[in-house]
Amino acid sequence: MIVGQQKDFDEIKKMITGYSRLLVLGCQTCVAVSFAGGMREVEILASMIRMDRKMAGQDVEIVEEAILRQCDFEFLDSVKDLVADCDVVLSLACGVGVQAMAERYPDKVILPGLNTTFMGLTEEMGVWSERCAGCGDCVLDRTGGLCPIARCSKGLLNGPCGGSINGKCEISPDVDCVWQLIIDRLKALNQLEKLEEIFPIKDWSVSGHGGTRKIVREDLTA
Amino acid sequence: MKGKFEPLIIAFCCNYCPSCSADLAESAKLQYPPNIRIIKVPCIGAVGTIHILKALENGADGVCLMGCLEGNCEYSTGNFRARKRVQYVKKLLGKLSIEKERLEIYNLSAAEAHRFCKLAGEVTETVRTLGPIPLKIDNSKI
Amino acid sequence: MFSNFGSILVVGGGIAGIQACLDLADSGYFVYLVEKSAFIGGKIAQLDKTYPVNDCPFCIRYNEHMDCASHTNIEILTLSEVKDIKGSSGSFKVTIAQHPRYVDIEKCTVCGLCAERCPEEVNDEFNEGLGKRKAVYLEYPEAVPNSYVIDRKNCLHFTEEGCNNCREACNENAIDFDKKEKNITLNVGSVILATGFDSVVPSYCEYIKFPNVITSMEYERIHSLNGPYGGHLIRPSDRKEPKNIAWLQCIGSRDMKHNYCSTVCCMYAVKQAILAKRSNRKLNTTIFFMDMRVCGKDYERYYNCAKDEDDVRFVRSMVNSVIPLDGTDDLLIRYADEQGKIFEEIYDMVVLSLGLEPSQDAVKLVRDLGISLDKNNFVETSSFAPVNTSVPGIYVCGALNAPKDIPESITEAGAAACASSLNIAACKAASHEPLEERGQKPASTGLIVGGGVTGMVSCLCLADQGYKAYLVEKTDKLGGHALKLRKTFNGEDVTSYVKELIDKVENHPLIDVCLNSEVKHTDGYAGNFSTRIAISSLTETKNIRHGVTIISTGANPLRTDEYLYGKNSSVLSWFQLDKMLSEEPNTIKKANAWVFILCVGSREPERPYCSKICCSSALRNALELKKLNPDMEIYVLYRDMRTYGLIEYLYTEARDKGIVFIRYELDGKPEVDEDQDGSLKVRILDNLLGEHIIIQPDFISLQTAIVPGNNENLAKLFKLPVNQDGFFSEAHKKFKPVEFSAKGIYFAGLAHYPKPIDETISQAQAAAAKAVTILSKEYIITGNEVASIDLELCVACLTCARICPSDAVIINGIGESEPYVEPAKCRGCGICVVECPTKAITLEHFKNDPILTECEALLEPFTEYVQ
Repeated sequence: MIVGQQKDFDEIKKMITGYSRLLVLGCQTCVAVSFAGGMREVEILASMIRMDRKMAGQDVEIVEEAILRQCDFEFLDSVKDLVADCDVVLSLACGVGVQAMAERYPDKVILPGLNTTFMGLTEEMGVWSERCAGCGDCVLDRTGGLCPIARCSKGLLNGPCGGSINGKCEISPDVDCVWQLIIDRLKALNQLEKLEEIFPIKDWSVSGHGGTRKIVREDLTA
Repeated sequence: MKGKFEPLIIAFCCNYCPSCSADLAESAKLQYPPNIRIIKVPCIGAVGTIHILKALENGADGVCLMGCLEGNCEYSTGNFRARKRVQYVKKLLGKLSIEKERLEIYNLSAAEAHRFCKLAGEVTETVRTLGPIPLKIDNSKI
Repeated sequence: MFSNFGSILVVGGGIAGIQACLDLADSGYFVYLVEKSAFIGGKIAQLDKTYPVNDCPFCIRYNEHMDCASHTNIEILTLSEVKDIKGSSGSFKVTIAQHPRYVDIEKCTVCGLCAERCPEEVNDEFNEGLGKRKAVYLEYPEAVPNSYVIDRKNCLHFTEEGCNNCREACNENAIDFDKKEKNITLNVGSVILATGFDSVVPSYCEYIKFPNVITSMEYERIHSLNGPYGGHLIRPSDRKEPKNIAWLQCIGSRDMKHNYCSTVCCMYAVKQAILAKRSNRKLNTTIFFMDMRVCGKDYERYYNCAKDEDDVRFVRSMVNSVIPLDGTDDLLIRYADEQGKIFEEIYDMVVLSLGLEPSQDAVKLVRDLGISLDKNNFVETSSFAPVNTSVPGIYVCGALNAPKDIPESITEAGAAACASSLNIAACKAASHEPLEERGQKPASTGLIVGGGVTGMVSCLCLADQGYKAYLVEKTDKLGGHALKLRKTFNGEDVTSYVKELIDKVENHPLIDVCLNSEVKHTDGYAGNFSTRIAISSLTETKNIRHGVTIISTGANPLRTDEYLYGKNSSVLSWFQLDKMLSEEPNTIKKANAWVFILCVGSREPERPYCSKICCSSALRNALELKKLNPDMEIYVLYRDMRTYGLIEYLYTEARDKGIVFIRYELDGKPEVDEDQDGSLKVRILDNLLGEHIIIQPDFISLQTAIVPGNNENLAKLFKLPVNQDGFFSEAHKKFKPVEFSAKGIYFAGLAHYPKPIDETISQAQAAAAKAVTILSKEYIITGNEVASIDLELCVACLTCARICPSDAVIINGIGESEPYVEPAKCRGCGICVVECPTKAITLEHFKNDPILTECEALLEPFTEYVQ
């Protein structure tokens, strides 16, 4: 799941300066689950903007809406009229959703209300953490199901480094050293020998370093 | 708005203990400021950020939440959630330059009619000292 | 008023009486509550805080007072006294005299105008005479029934003819001076006596008349926010804040006249000292005591906290005298320490920890009824029927049968409700009213986990009231540890009791005993649980639907390796001694000396709790040994002799019989060695002599700690909380001793905390009484408002399932990604509604957010005005 976090209110305020008719548009899928972009957050943000404008003595008209997914063009059509009636769309979707909106409504200013943060999971209510970096070349088979690219601060493939102290990463005592976890897990699985094999140099060309990625499945295309 | 400023305060009261205290205060004819408007909620944990913001946006000068005593929530953690939520909303109010003191949370048992009245008085006094919520001043200037 | 032999009379509207009423009324029985004073509630409202949780007791109990007043199955008769009870179990005829209130409860609006105009001021009993009230008064603002009362003894209308001020002041015309005393006759099936206690003011205690010597109850009032000084801790003589306060323990307890322990004084003094300290850190607080008897659940921790964190000073001593200092209001305390050395200290205020005795008004009634009383006028009961008096059909609970704490009183109230209802079970349907016609019928079956005494008693209580009971026991026989015990501390025969109990359970047509079995899975909600049980004799598991669950899994004695246990065969455990007493009397007769070591593994840093039963069991067995062999020297090595309540009789007897008691401290534990031939040697510091002594006993008995069974697994299965020591945690330590926060699941016995067999049995009965409140309902009651999820908006983020406090959101997993709210579990708190990130959840019947709608409606006129 894509995890997002709402931008600081001051930043949003600056972004929407000068606009008086706003559509605050939520996305009810990934970023809703991380409490950044669902209808609940749309209402709260809209209320804050209204109060802020009132205090500044400026008029504002806000339409609050949320759609199932902003990353699918088909869903975007349902808000056609709302988009037409506003000066600006403040999108509470991930970067994908904001870009989809911009692509679908080329004449409209679409502003991002969130920072798209990472791909991760809900550890517990209110706590999310990163799990995958989308490198395009999965190594989890060799690392006991724990990703060193996303979860090692250095992205080391042959860890741990000298900064691993008591199972924690040197960047912070709150961050687990993923290589420690990998070793512990492989030990428990009786597969420690997997680490004997040195990881060869990884092909980063499929991870975005080789340009924007695209997948085409000939059997599915029209 | 002429004369002395009289604040309007929304008090969200959990239907269990605090509402009992409020009713008790009424039945015992104890006095609490008429500035307090009570909204009874099934659990204080059911009061969301949006409810607090909307109350202020729609004209309340202050908001207070009255939950059951800690450890005494019918739904075990509703009052803890509410306490955390109030801290969060206070931060949001900070972003809007609205005084954080306009929002407060208290824990109250079912038999504290006197304390209910006392708290109601304190809240009213705090908000009265702060003056009208800045939303209204500017609004009236327009 | 209708007469009905199917109803029950409860005498005494204090905490135990109210609880008994509610447990009965909730199970469908009609109850009359007779209370001598003008208000129900007893002493609870006078208490400032409860230990060990430091919360406000009345605040928590107020809902119960209100429930009692408004319950359709309860009729409250205040200002009433039982004059006579005739007849026998199942059909009593009770004569009651009801004194007039002179104020009409229906009309009184508690406006207080009457009291304002009343010219007569008298001492306020509610504030223990530290404040004043009028002759027409309300005890305190929240008193139930919430109506003023005229105190005839002091009212000028009656004493001096003619004052009608209050009647004139009353706008509601609620006052009528012509009301006369009424005689009421009731026909009831059972009677529960719950008349509570009075504080003992012993005659030798002359210093009580000094102004700054106050009683414990006066202290409660002084420290209470609604007390005479508004919660300000000041002393009566000059209203100054004291700098030093002393508590004197055992005033009116453990003396020649009251030769029992009042059980609660140690803890309340510790509580008062802690709270005093917390209100003023600079205050010096000293507790003068003999033995610190803090044997309830979490009490030892509380005591440790007082010593270590709150810096309360504890002095083990005998106080000889309290002398007023000339020219001041201060007091000199002269005391002797353990070695008999005399000390003197000066205090600004002295609190007397007064003991408890049975309510004196009640003693006369009880005696008239022919109920047996013990030498201190406590109602006699047996350990195996802890709430039955000697008169069939009349039951007792609370402090009338022994001094006891609130949780035990509430437990006994439940037990009395359970026992008394058995008398009249047949008549019940007549007055039963279904509370709500909604939902499905509950399963009229109980599941009891654990087949010891607790489990069997609970089972029988349910089955005797006509409900089916499944008893799941993991071993191959019923009885648990009680099979290995011989006698209770009173000397009653446990072996034959357990045998009889097993027999009754095994032959009861409504009880299904599953031996060698364990719970594998459980699901559902109060009234409708479904549990899978694996029985080793069957290859398949068994599924049962049941309405309630009672956990009674017990506890075990600690296996220790201290004091040569396991190495020397003459060092005995609990059960080895019991076995020896019944099988090897000749060995005992030959022994010259015997040592008991107490607190083995209890009250230690890794197990900071008292196992409660070790002192009494050691004394019982020591006396048995002495009986078999009067020449034997017996030494009891102890830390505090915790023979609380009437168990104190045993301590007195043991000392009379020449048993030697030697106290030791945690850092001076006895040392046990053996010679090459295996003969034992115990070395211990004798505090009285101040030097080490050596004992050469034939045997050493270890009173090892009682430790919880393996509760984690069960806790996980049933989602139940466990405390730091591994015992299950109740919903409220003081007021809900057999309930979990989850509805429909109860627990009893040693799974809760170590306790003697009488307390175990009353808990088992109380748990059954609670269970019947669910089983007896015609419908499973669901809340009015139930959350429902709009699946169009739901993205299955699981937030609701994660935060629901009632576990009402069900995620089925494979193939069903959509969550579902179980209506019978949902209690309509609305927490999920406000947390749902996609706003997919509403409370039924409300399309729009009801809180928001109300908020907007309230503010609307104002908003318009502003704009």
